[in-house]
Amino acid sequence: MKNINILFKVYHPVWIVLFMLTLCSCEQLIETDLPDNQVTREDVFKDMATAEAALTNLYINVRENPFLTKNTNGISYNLSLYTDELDYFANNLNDFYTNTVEADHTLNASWWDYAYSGIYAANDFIEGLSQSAFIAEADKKAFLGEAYFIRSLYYQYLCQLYGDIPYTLTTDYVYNTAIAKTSYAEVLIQIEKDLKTAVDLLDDSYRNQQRIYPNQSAAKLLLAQNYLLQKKYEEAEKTCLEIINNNTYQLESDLDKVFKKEAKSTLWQLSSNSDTDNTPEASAYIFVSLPPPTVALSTELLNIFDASDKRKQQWIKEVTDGNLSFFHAYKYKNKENNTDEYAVFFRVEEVYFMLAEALTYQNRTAEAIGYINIIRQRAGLNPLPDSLNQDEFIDEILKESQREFFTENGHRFFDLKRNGKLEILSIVKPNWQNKHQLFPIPERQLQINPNLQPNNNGY
Amino acid sequence: MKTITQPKSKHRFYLLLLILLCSLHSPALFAQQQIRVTGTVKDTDAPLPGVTVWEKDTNNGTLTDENGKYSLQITPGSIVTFSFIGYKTQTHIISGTTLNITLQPDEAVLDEVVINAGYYSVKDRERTGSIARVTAKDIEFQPVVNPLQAIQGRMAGVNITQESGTPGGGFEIQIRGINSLQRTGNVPLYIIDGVPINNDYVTASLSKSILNTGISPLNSINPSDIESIEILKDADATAIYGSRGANGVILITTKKGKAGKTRFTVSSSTAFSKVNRFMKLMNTEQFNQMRDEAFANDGMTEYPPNAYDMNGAWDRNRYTDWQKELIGRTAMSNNLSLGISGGNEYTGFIVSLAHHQSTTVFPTDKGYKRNSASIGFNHRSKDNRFQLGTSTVYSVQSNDLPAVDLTNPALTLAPNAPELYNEDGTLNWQDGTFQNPLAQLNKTYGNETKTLVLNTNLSYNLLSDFYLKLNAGITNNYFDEQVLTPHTIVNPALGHTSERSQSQKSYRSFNSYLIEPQLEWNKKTGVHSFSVLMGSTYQVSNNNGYTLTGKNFSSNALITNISAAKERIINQMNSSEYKYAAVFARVNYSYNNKYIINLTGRRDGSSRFGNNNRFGNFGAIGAAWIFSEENVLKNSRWLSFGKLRASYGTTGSDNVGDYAYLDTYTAGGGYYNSVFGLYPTRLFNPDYHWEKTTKREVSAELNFFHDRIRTSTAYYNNRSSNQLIGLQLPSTTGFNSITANSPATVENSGWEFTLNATPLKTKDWMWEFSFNISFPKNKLIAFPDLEDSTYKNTYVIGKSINLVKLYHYEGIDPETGLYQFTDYNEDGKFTVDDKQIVKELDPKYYGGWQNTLSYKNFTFDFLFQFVKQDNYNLNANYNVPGIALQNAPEVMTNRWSPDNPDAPYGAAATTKNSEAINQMTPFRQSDRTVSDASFIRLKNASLSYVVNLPKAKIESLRLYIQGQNLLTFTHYLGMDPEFINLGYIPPLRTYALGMQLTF
Repeated sequence: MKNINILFKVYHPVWIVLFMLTLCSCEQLIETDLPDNQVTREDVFKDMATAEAALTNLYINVRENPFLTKNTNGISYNLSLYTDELDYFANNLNDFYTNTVEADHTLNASWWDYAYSGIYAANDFIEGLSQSAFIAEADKKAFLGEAYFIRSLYYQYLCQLYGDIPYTLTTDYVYNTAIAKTSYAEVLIQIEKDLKTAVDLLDDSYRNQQRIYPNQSAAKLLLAQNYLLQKKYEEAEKTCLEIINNNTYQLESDLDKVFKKEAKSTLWQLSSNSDTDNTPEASAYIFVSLPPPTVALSTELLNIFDASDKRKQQWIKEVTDGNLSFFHAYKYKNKENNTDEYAVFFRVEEVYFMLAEALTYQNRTAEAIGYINIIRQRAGLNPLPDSLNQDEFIDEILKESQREFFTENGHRFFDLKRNGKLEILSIVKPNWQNKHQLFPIPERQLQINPNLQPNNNGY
Repeated sequence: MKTITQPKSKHRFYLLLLILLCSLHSPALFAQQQIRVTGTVKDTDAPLPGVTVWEKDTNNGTLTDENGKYSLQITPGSIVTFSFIGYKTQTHIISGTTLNITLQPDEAVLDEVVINAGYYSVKDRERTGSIARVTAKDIEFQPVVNPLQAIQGRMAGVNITQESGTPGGGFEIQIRGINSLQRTGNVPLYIIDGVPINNDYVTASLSKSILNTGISPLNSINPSDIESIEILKDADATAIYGSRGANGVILITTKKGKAGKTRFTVSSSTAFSKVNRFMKLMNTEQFNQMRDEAFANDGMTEYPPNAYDMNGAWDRNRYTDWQKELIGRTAMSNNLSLGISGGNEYTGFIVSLAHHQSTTVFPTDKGYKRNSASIGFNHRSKDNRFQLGTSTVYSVQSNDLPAVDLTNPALTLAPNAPELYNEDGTLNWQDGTFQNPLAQLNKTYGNETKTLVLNTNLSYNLLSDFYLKLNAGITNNYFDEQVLTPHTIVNPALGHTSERSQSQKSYRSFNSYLIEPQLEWNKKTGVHSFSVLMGSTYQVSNNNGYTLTGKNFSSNALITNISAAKERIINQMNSSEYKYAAVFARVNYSYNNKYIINLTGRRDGSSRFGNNNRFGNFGAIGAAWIFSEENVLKNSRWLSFGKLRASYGTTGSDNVGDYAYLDTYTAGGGYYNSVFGLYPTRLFNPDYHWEKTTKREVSAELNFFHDRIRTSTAYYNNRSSNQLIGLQLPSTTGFNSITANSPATVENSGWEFTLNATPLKTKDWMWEFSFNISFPKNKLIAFPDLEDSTYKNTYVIGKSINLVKLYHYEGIDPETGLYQFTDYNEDGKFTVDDKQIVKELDPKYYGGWQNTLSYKNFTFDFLFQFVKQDNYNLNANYNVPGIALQNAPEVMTNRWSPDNPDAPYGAAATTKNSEAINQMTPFRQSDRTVSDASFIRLKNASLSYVVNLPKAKIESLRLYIQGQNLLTFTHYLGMDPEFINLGYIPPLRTYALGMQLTF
């Protein structure tokens, strides 16, 4: 008995420890700190530096993610394949090139996914910054304006590709889960509103002199696109003129300077991840020997150039093995060690084209021709005769636009589509059908949100 | 009572003294009228060293020496016991001074088999829960990297699928089916020697294209260091793991040192592995015919510029068997290990050092290496009150692999594609027309894993029936991966230089510690026995990691060193912390060894939940009735053992990743104008709570004819609800999912049968077999508002959750050669609503049949594994015949033409034929792509010869040959029916030779 007593007492501390371990506050035991790389959302919008980091993410999304990216995952590259600008040479199949993108297509699904994740990030940013009580209203303006611009950018491309689309301005996932489609026309109206807000919020001076953050004029350019899509030609004309009359922007007379960082024609370009990154366009299009490893400019595209066209001489490069010749886009020159090129998103030349289009649809074709002639003149071409009628002129605009904007932002597709001329692609594209004016909404999305049904016609 | 006032230091003094007293004893104290008894202990053949000779109820005892001799001072008339593991203990009253003993082997194995149930162990016969067990004899000599590979087919209710035949890869393991709608939510809890190990790095990102979905955390352990693997299945067994037991628990116990002489074991084996079966692909003649037919069908008279195979860029008539070239090598693996073990009655140790290396079937000499050390030490005091056990498992693995699995190119490369190498040994690009698959070998994937699992167990017999225990452990995982992408992997026509070379490196470390103090009380009074365990767990895990990218190297020679890159990016740095605390208890009561009841419970807290949902309670009740102990049956001639048992309880899971309840932004993703990005981490949900799985089981265990036949039958029914899943969301929400409790209730039920028998047992001959079969059934039994949920088109109430919905394939239009499908809603197109065919991809039944035949020193052992299931077949992987420079299976030679309108495959076509291309969308999602993937496989066969050479001081010499995946019987249309995702190397066929020397 005595022994047991001693044992009991000797081990008293052990009992206490045991007691402590079993009964002490479990709440505290399982408290954890936030990981080093995460910040609570509340804190993000407490100061300008973290808010800027969140805004930075919106640009990274645009630059890197499949959809707006200029690399081979983006709409820019793939719409060139989809239309008649590029020929495809790799050993595998390319559904964009063969016009066989169906509802189960992986890259098409990524476009949709990443467009909406980009929109979510913009919505969350707008929500978070607007509600922040810690950042002065004046400081919020430019940031919010940029976020509105980016949101509109996504929606404007989305509705041109997919027609009626779900349009959301909230981050509420319950609402967004069962969201239905908004009609194409209504989406455009909403974008117009958003862009007007962006124009109001943004200054005309650039936040960064390299023009890597959109300013008011960039927002106006997007707004002018929107007016054209809505066929609001008067507003489009007015908006275009505001940009053209802004002497921040000038056409570069030397075509080799158009895609350089300091080009005066640039409205908005994308900063690269690091200083020496070459542009995604240079990676995607340039090759040095034959046969072309992936893509080369199509014969159809080459055929629309006059030999005297400076754009053919300076923006296109021939690669030959003595027998055969193939050509690649050479707007961006630096395949390695890039120091002077950024990926240009919007340049002022587009405004000239939009203005011409807005004028001709107001039956002011003669006036419109003047603006296209400015572009032609720079390329060393003769001016178009004033005698063209509207139809002839539209055909000329489309050709001129392709000569100017080949392999840029899917211009060919959007120009043809806006002017109702997509069917001319069926001459060179054996599989072209009417349904191809819209892309299919990814099948998986229709499955998990049946409110998005039915899919676009023909899919 | 005065002792209370004693200063603390004195407590310690007493404690020390006590321990010293316990562990030492002085023979002088007992030196009264003593005699010395000597003798030899033998078994039927030879002297037995290391037998415990003990004077009953005293501290007086010894061990027999190498020759089985002992000598002990003793009081005449006292009682002495002779005990040795595996033999029946004998008790003698001492009268003379010489006593020679012959011990009899103990054949009543069942009574002695003790099962590890994690926090406690239990005799197999008294077990109330469902625990499957595989022991060292079935694992140690197998030519495998991962122990899971060795236990495939051996246990009822456990379905293991190898994800890739490349060494160092992963396994999918399902214990009684899948509970969670999220496939990754079905991972069991792995515990090595009492320490849960992290399995987070199974989802390492860089390895995806070579190792499939993951890397098994069990690669880090040398299979031959394992003493036993126990898999806990039902509520009774898993509820004590509470929150983490829903998907079952895999307990791995390493070998321990045993009393006896110091034993050296040297083992070595060499194995040769090849791809089991190549697919029958077209030869050049068949391929050319298909291509020509395609061009002809589309009216093309001239080959397009990129039809290099046909237009003269390549030699049209070349033939290469690409499977042989790219995945046809014999992978060699070597195992070498040294083990030293020994000890005495009080202290034992084991040290095992092992080296394993294996190459792959790819045309490269690189491969997988593992160096491992396992050290175990155990001790108990002479008075048996204090026990200490430690084990350390340390391993370093490295894997050097091509970054991409070459199976796909091997199956699709045109048979007339050009040579891989030029005459000067450089890669052949055939003037830029040939995407050389070997370029992928220049892109390399490498990883290094260092794993330390350290465990210490202390137990002290506090009072007569009380034991104070402490289980503590540390795990340390260091994992780094590297992907090198030199510019030489792309077509030289792109004009890249090393400025485009890229190197990516990711480091991750996972460290955790665990403390589990426990108190146990065991009491036996008459027919009542009680066993009570109370304990608590506290675990903290820290994960840290970062990823670096280096781009733009001045030379590819520098590519491994990111600091040599002109551009260096820190892609990501992250850290996370996981804390877990719990109290648990077990109460076991047994009446007369006949009626047993076992209660287990646990209250868990986890940092993975929001503040209001951190704690959860789990518990189970299990009961067993050993009816063969009833008087009526006790003397039955045929029934030697009979038990009925049942269990009911709940377990859970917190397997959702850390911090998912928080609304945060994460740093990462890149820079813009040198500003770092912050992106929204997730859609957050502060309200999700513990998932619960309710498990029920009834089982009968019957043994007949002196345990020569042993059977068990179990029926289980598990229902999971509130499962933590990434609830599927449309992309319009900005994400694909949100962590939430699933509304679904999933039922896994099924029958499991095992039969073990010893049909033949004579002096020289022995035949044993064991058979197991499981019939699992997975069923979605409830899903409120399924019709309005995002799973509307994914699940069907009453069907398995592992289902696919497919179009119905009708056949080929004899006019056009196009595939026809059923347009159920007659809207003229194929949409979700037309996917009316439902196929369940779960196994219908699976199991294994193992036989061991021995004659004298020879043992022949083989195991058949069988699975009855449906899965995707080769049709899911191929395109329109002839459409590209891609080979096709030989079966596609039987394709539609006006002369062959009833062919099983459609007409050849080119890219100009969009109808042909577009029909492939429904085709690949039709019931033509899912078919029978059942198989019976001779999983393992081995022949071994063991010889004892006592004169040469060799305890045993074992020589063996082993085969793995030797034969496969299947109707499967494709390469191999065992896979998770198509396009990876299937499990290999292996032959191994080995020897083991013990002295």
